[in-house]
Amino acid sequence: MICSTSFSSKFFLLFFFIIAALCSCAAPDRDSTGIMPTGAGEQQSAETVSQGSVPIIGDDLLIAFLPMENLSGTKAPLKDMETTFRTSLTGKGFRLLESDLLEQFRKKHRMRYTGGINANLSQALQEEMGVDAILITSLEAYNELNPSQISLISRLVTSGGQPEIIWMDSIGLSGDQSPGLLDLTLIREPQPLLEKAVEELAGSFAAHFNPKDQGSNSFFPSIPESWRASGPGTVTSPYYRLNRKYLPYDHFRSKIVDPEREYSIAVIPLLNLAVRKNAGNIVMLHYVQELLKLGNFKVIEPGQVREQLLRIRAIMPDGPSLAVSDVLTAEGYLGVDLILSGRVFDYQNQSANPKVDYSVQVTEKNSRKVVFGARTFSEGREGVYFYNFGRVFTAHNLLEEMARTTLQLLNKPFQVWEGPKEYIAKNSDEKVDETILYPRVVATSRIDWEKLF
Amino acid sequence: MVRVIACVFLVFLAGCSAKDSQKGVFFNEMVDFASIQTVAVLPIQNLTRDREAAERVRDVFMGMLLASEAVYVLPPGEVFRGISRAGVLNPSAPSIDEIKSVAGILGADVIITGVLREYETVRSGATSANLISLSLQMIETERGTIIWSGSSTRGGVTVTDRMFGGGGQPMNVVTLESVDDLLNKLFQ
Repeated sequence: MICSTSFSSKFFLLFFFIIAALCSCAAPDRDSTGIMPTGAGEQQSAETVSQGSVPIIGDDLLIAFLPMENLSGTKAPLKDMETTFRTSLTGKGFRLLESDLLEQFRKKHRMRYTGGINANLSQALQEEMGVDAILITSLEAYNELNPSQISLISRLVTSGGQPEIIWMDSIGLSGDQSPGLLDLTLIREPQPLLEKAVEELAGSFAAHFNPKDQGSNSFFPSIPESWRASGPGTVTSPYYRLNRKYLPYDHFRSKIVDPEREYSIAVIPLLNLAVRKNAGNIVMLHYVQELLKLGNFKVIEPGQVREQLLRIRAIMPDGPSLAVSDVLTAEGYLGVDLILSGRVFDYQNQSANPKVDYSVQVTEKNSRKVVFGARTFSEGREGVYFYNFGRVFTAHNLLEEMARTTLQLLNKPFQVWEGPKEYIAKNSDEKVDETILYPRVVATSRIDWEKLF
Repeated sequence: MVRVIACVFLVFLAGCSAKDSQKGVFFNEMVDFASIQTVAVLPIQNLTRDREAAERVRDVFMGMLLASEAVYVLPPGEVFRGISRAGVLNPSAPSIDEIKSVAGILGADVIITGVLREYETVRSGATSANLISLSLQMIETERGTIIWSGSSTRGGVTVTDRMFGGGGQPMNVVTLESVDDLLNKLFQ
């Protein structure tokens, strides 16, 4: 029997295969980013680690793996997750403090909080257990079915009297983010997703101490990192510089902030006005991670910030007052230059359309003024029109990009945009700060640019 | 001669031009708004069903006012401290004495209060859309008099929505439009 295919059938077959191929390519798997991903990030990480006071840690470091902090607002198999993570780390050659020994230490020192570490406990861990560093992991989101989701944030803090973050990374995965052709790569069970997430995090961790191991990482730079890596030569327009999708709708930056200077900063848990539990702490952790990536910020370990807030018995029903800021920035307390605080209005982690809505503000020590403020909200399906291209499946990834873009506005050098020639000719004395030229900011700007030109 | 007549005519025409007034906006023309440097935005009175709506709108307004770079807006935590120390019973509708007291503690030149009247989804037949209605007042702190007042309503079901369907703009966008409208009225 001769099987003949007409031209139109061939055309439809070809079209079908192209569509199928496109479907399998949909929603690229943007797993996570760390302080040391690749390219520009690698350089930044090296700078971060070499910032003076951080001790050099060898391969034989002893790590205390603290029990996972559950910020997911739901029940989750934390023990299983911990075991999987421990196994993965020991498999990569890291020495972890025995769980029993850590439990004894926790009982002895009545250590209940495991989402951070303060100076006293850090010192005690070093002296009594011989621990070099402490691994703190927070479960941001967990969903077993329809679809499975997991988001983890992990950081390594040095032991001793002055705990400092030397590595931080996070990952947010959704089972349906890379379904592949005919859903062949759709992850339906939580366990494989957990293993994948843990493997990525452990890979990033290993890569931090052994740069040769970076090959196992599937990280690739996000859009803002891409333009950073590409250098100023490729930038033809100010619009190109930031990822518009995640830009805040309005922002303010005082001239007091000097992007060239190094600042110490404390991130206070954001006031949670959302229905979702722990949303304020989650946003705080994302900002800690992104601030670390910037390189010119010395970020205080959140456990120490918590300790000082408890010490001064700060009650902040509407955010930190200037009096609280004064105390926190004082030398006997945190002694920081900047304090980042804010409010979270919405945090929804549905895979169909995650949403995050919050505002942040940064207060400066000497001027006692708000020097940076931004309000931002975004959705996973924003700007998605074709085959899920650009869709974000987890609130974790959404928040990560939003935090990164917001902080780039804080850290962006003051650049004077000269504008169209007609405008320059008319207003040769006046220069315009390019920060007000981003499209979404223009919508709320007091300057009517269309009329101006 | 013709030129002189034309000039005189133009001067007369300019004198007849109507003063630009906006509906629902009050300005105290005796006040020099350029002298205002520090603003405290008090909690907005919430007349809607959504418990956090007023706080959300206040946050948007404070952010956009600060982003205008025209004035310095005190952070909400500091405003709360002022309210607590002054012992204001109803922060969204303070008395003149309370305003003076709060301003003294915070060092604010003016205080802004407001009322959120609508913040919900309205329906018309099979169509629904988000709606916001907000009014704000600026009160100077020496005598406690209102120097500016404005209101704005944005969103709702439009003719296009009725004809072609669609759920209108998201609430966040409608809120931004409304606050932007109020700021335009303030900075006109």
